[in-house]
Amino acid sequence: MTQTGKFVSRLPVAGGTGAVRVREADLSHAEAWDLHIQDPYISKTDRIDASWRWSTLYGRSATLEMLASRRLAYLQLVAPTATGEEFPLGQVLISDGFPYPPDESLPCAFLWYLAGTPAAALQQAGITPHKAVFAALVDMAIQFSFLSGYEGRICLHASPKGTQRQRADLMERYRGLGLKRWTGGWLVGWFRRNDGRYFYADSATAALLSSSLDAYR
Amino acid sequence: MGYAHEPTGSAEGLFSADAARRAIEREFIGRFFARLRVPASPKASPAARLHDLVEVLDSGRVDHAIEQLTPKSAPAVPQRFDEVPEFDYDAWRQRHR
Repeated sequence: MTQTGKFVSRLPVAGGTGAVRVREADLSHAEAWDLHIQDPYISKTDRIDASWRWSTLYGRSATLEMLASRRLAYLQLVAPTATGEEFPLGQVLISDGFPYPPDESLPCAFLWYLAGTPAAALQQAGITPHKAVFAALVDMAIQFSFLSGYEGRICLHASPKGTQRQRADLMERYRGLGLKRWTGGWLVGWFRRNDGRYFYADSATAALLSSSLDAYR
Repeated sequence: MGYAHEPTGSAEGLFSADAARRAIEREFIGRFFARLRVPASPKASPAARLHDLVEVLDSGRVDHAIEQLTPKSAPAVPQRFDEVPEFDYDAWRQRHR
């Protein structure tokens, strides 16, 4: 049985595992991300999130969730640099209590935004590349869902931005993780249209995904 | 002219625990809603006006306004990794009641 409600504390690196930690972030962390990671390492690339500004995303998401009377959680996955300071491997924004697409009478955790730190930024910070970061970021939403009493249910929307190839790749990444694509219903959640890019995990899928990282909790 | 929605007490849980930051965020939210004035129409239901507001926010079309209104405070200074507290769900929930 998987360890629900417990975040990863290590992730695989070459030759073993490295310590990581899930921490709560706020607007100052979004501003630090924009300054130290987004601007120098992402904004000038062709990544889907090249145009993002996390300080803006945080403000926009917080406003939207406030309209819906829902809570917003901003979490970072951090690792130690060569000098022992924290440095983000990635981060997520999670809506607490979003309607679960297969049954909107049930709440789930909605993974609003997700981003991983580029390899060049990690190298500059003296951090050994970690494996399974993408899975760990999705896992943060799953564990948040367990902690909220939603039995691991999550939902997310694969970004429609970028090239056709990038959009397809992102869909495949989520599918490859084991998430299910939501194909039913025109309206998802609150006033949103289903463009075929919504994914979800029911409680069984969440338990399966969670168990795949249990060795690192 | 009227607002589609005004911040209520239920918004409290979304603001930071830090008092100074909380004051900045509340001022931002107040000014942001003032910027997004939605004309009160006798024919549009509150749900319809709210839908319009959600669409505008969701589209990113007002991100420029959000960016202008978002106060620029100092970026977070990294802590020692060993001193970073793991996310405490119960404490977070308590602050965001």
